[in-house]
Amino acid sequence: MNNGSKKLLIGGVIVVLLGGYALWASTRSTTPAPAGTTAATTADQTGGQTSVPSGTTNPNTIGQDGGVGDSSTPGDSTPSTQYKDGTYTGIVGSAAPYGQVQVKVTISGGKMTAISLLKKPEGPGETNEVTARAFPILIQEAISVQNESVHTVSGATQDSDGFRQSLSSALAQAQS
Amino acid sequence: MVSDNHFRQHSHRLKAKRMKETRAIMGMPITVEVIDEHASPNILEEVFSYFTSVDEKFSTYKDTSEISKINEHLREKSSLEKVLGSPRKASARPFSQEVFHSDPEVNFSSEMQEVLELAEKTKQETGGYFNIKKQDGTVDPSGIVKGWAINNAADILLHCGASNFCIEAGGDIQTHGNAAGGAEWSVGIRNPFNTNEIVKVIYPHGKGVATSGSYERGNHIYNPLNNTDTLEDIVSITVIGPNVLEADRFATAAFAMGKEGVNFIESLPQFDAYSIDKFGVATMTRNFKNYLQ
Repeated sequence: MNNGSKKLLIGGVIVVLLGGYALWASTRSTTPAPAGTTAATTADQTGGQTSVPSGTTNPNTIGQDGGVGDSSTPGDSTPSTQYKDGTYTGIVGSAAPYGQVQVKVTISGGKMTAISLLKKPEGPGETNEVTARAFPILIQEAISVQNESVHTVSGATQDSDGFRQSLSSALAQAQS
Repeated sequence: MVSDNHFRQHSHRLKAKRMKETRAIMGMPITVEVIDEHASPNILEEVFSYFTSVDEKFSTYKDTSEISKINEHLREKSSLEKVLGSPRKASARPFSQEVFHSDPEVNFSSEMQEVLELAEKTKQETGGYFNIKKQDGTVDPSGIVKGWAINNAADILLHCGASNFCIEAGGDIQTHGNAAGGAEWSVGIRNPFNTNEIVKVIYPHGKGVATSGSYERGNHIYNPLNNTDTLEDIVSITVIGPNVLEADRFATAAFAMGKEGVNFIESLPQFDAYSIDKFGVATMTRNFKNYLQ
């Protein structure tokens, strides 16, 4: 990966993160212009979420918008861009007048596995809550399929399909 | 030569100590694994018969269960009220009291009383997001019985002298001690978009793990405060709590809260969560990282 495309990636992530913020800020007719993010990435404005739009910067993100019900198999998608493994800290982008934004991305196995905010915009007084909402302090990442073996698996209840229960029970026994 | 022999004996003993079995009880696969030198071979049998006894009492699918009898009574009462009018506001009293006082002749088992009280407590602690009362006036405590039963099963194992075990029932988990070979128990978080895969590996370190989600049966949990809310933003939330009962009751409520669920868990001391939205983006509480190694 050359420096240019790395910048493009990191810049793109910042644009994405600022998407939700811009949505809110636009109601105050102050659209922040993040420095150094001239990359033509379209920010998917998911209502203030700092989520990564599927298929834009993260080839491993599972499920397109509304595609929860479809049976596309995640994990076998081939990344259209091959990222180099490592942790990358983005440039400090401006979110004037509310401060600065900076992200850190982790690439593992050629795929983006984590995004975290190193700096987030802070607003004075009453705007704090709004800012906190647009930029949750909680950590977000795109899910990625793990190939490690584990002792057990946690998932939502399977309590209606007798056939399936019986099958999983049989499989669990077959594994032991 | 001596050390080789010693090793062989030792590994044989390690192998013999490991007992693992899965059975379908309470309408779901339940797996119990015990790794202990002193554990009696009957220990698994004891745990499985406990789960069976819980099923006999709490299964809403069995007409003969205690909960079915309570619901039969509640249904009669509700249809009677439709004709005669309700004597008082249904929500005026805590639900457990409402059930207990609905018929003085109905004798509740102490387990039923405990579960209904737990449900009531959880409803209050979650601002009404956890609610076992259904629209037709009947109750379905399944959302809490599983975690409660696993927790009690863990107590049975501890009481029998086991110190290294893992109990998994329908995706909710309680571990204790270490896995085979002294390893930390590891738990995969199921991929809500492909249930044959996992998307995260966590090490609960003896805490309880429960996942609530909508991928197995469509939206099987609804928002009790807004029935039209289909909860489609979040597809799964995995909660780590002090034990599996705590994790289970808060996972159910957190899932019903949608996007706010993970913030709710963040606000609870000793609880952490990993929620996955429909875009495949996960949000985790700040201390969730403590369970990644």
